[in-house]
Amino acid sequence: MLNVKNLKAKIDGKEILKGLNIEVKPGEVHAIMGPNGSGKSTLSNVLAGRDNYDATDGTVMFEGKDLLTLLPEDRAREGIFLAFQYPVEIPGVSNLEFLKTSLECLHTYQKKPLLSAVEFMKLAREKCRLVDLDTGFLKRGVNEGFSGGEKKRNEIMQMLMLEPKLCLLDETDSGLDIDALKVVADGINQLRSPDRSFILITHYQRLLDYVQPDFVHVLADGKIIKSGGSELALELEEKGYSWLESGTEQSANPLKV
Amino acid sequence: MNNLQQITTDFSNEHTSQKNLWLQGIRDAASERLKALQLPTQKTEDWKYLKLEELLADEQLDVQSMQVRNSKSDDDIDELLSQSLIKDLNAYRLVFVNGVFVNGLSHLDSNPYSTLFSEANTAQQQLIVDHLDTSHNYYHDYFSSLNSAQLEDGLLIHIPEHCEVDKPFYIVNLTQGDQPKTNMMRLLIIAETGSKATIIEHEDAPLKHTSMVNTVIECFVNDKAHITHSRLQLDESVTSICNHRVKQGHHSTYQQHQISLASKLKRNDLTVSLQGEYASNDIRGSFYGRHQQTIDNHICMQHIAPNCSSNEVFRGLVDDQANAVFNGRIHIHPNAQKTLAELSNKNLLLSSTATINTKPELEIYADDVRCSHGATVGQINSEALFYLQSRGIPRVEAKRLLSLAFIAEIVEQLPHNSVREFVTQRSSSLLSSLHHEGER
Amino acid sequence: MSESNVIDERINSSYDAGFITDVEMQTFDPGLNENVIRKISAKKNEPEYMLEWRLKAYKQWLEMERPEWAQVNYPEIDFEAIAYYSSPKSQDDAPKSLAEVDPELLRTYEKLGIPLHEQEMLAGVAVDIVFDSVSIITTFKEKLAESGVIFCSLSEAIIEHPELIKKYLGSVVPVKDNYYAALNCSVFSDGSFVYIPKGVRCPMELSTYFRINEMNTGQFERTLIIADEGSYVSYLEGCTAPSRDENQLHGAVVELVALEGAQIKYSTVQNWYPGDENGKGGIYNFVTKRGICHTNAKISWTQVETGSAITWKYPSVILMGDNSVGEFYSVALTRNAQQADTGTKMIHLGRNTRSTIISKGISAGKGSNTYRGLVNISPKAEGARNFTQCDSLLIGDKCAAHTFPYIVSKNPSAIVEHEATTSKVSEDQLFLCQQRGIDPEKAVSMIVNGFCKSVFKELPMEFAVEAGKLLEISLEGAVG
Repeated sequence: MLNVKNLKAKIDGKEILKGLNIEVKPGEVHAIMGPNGSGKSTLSNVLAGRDNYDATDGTVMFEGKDLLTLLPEDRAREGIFLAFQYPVEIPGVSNLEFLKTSLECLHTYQKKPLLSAVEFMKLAREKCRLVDLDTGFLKRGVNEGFSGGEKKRNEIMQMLMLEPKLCLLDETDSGLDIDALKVVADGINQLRSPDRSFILITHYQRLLDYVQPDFVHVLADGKIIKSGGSELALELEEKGYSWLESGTEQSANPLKV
Repeated sequence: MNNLQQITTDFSNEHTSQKNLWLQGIRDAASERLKALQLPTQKTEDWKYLKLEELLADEQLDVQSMQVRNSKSDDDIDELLSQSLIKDLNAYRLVFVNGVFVNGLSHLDSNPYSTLFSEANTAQQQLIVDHLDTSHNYYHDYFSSLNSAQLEDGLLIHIPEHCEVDKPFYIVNLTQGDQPKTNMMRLLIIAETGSKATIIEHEDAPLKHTSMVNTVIECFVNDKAHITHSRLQLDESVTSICNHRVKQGHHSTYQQHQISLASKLKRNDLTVSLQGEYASNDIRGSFYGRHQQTIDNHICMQHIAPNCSSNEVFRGLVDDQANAVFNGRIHIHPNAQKTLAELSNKNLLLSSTATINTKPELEIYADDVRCSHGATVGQINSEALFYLQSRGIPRVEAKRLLSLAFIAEIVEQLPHNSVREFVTQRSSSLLSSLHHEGER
Repeated sequence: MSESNVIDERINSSYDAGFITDVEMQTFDPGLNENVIRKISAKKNEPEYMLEWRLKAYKQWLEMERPEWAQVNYPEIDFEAIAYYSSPKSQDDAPKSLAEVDPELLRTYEKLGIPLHEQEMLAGVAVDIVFDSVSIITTFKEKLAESGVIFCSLSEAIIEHPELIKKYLGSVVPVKDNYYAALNCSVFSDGSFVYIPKGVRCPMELSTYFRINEMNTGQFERTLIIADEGSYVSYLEGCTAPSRDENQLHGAVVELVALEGAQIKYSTVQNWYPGDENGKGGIYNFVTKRGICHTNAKISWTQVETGSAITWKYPSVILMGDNSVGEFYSVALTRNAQQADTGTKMIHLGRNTRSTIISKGISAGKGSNTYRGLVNISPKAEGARNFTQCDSLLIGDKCAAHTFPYIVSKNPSAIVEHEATTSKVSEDQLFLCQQRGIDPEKAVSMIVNGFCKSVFKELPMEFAVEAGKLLEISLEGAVG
């Protein structure tokens, strides 16, 4: 599904990703872990096509298409979904309006029949319930005045609505209490299917208690320095990152776990 | 003909000072400017709320010569005056009476940072000449030009590079004596790169003598310098016009606290120019007007460099027939992206015959900025008033407490315990005379 | 694609209403003097009282100075180069019904999306059509007359209802109020007149559609709306003009009188030709709008301003009666080289008077957008309340947004609150939309519509959608 080869990327002229390789097959769940500043968020932003995140080398193929040449909206329409680490507020634009527009754009591109207003509302209400958001949220502005946890649940709710092929979750677990974390995990597990893949970017192991990954990768200084099964996450939790770090180049920032 | 206009026309011929000839260039340039300037009228947007000619009709705007103090009673008066100073403030104290430096009341020992213009050495003279009147819009200002044209002396505070001054400067300007006269005050503060200092200015008229003061303050906060500047304007009997300009270099900070009592006319013009990146400032002020007093605050925040931040908080209390003006302008220049600028002005109108004019302005020429301003005019919260009354506090006392609470946000920010206590005590006793009607 | 690219790409505008109608016109020669005023008055068969009023106003105008305080720049207007009267020849024998109206004119309005055949019209909306200097036709007059509502051209009212005209014309905006109002008083050619009798709730929306067509012509219309005690009316005006390289002057005066307990809701969708991307051409819109509220009355101004090269306009409310309410909801969009200096004045005179001001300014391209407002609480306005919210949205780094609120309070029991913020369409917002598959064009118009929502909800239902679309069309040309 996704094949990233030797990906290098710069932000403001500074190289953050320094030759990253990863392959994700349909149905797989990959967790990418790593210390602060290792390039985790850069990876998700480069994959989603954010401005100023310039891929300088390497290739990213998504279902046989060169992802790096696509506009962000076309990547979304191809089935890539990014759950943002810090979802932005859009005052005055209701979630309902936003989701409807989004869904219509996706369905038009994917040549699927559009939902009627009634079908759409039914679906939206149902997904809201799944992530434990009051349906009143639908009428409020996108993320406007939402708490941190509500914003994250809103991201998952959108993911459930849009049914993407590849879900990138950028630290969706950070700042969540245990109940909210379970809601997020339930959302992910519900969407798991043989043709849908996930990349969970996370700092901590705790999300992985609820979502069992097939592979765990450790990202440090812009490269994947170790890969393994879900047991690797437990090992990281126990020992921190520094034991891995010793073999790689010295990073500018002291590493924190 | 109004005596004010008189000055402008024949000023340069008659009043040119012979003192400190090295300042002659500054005086000449200002005299030249004055020829093209007139006393502002209400048609000038920045002066529209003041009937200036009326307010200044009795004032003598030119200084005949430095005021000579009556030597006979000096000691008695000094004793009296010294009682009005802030006690327990360990500071470099510099006291002026009617614009004249008074050695006996000052603590000059071991103060290597300040000098009177008249006592400046050659290097200091050069420094003064290089900095005076270099702020950008001096050119059009009538009163600061008048000040420069008659400039004879002034105070220089010069903090060398990376110097952290061990105690605050406490600059006191006292008014004493009864004949109408104008004092020209001039303060020049130069904080060199990486330096740090606290300045406390205190204007007072303990004997309630009237006079007119035309003050110009120029403050250069160079790169990475940090200045805290408190201005206590507690002279209710003094008509005062003050032009205050601040220039900030990169990564510098400037904090100002202004506590102002209105008078027949009190006009404060403050312009802060953020000229270096990542400069920030925090300007807080409270003002109180009563009787037929007038206070007019004009603050202009000039965001010139990107990535700077400014914050302005002003609280006003207006009682009796007083007239208060607050004009706070935030000007974001085209290059000043990533600016954060905020302004808040809240006012309590305490009587049905008082007036408040507030005008917070935004002028924005850059898109990636976050600016906001807010202004409110209201009265003392009747529920809070009732709550206090229901706990047995008399209404007048309750109003006093709530008025004090309203300006507490400003007073609490003052540096040094003794300054805070002094101001709290003064405001508290003032507010006990609060107007008795005004709410239903 | 970067945000600025998106914006630049879309800066080329299209103005849908920019066509010219080819009908035979009779237009006065340019220039202004007493004779021209006499000719206008004669053309309209006005009674003597009206001519005298005009001539007096003209004398006063000659002595006045052009105001220069607004945050707008434009070359001095040559008042001698403007024609002060222009009307289609076919209007000489005023048509009594739509069947008699020149079909070319009807087609003009169809093209503008305002079909005039009654059966096709928006249900329940009566329209007065003003083309250059004259009112062409007013629809649904008879139906309105059944409930006692008078809705006609001002010219007709001057002849048919002199008692109302004498009492109210110039009563809210005095002749000498300002330079452009005085000019209007002397040369106004037509406009709409509305009278709602006591206790009547006007059975349909009223609206006037203004069209400037002829070259070098100024449009100086007047609107007078009188809502008698306890009545209600909702009124909407729309404006368009052809795309011409010359600037054209529009100097209207609108007066609203809300008598005791009456309510007037006045909405404007202003889409005058804004000029091209280099600032060439466009309407100079210098308009005085003011209403007076008697006891318990309410006046709401809602405006959506997307057009004009220059907008100079401050719809105001004099809250004279106790408990009266004034509201101002505004969306002003400037793009290309457009300049807008607009806002409101709320003059609180009565006790317990209330006012609300919501202003949304959007600046794009090289546009300059200024909110200028006054909230004045007089000493007698016990318990008065004002709330003001001014938000600016900046799109691109060549535009400007200014806020100049004047607040004067002379009553301690009054509460005045003013808030202003400024924001941009952020890269994060655009990226979130893009990541959800929404293209930047659609994303920006969605975000801007969201920004304006609190104003749009004040428009009459029929026009809220239209206003949203208008903004979208304007944005299509202006921003990304």
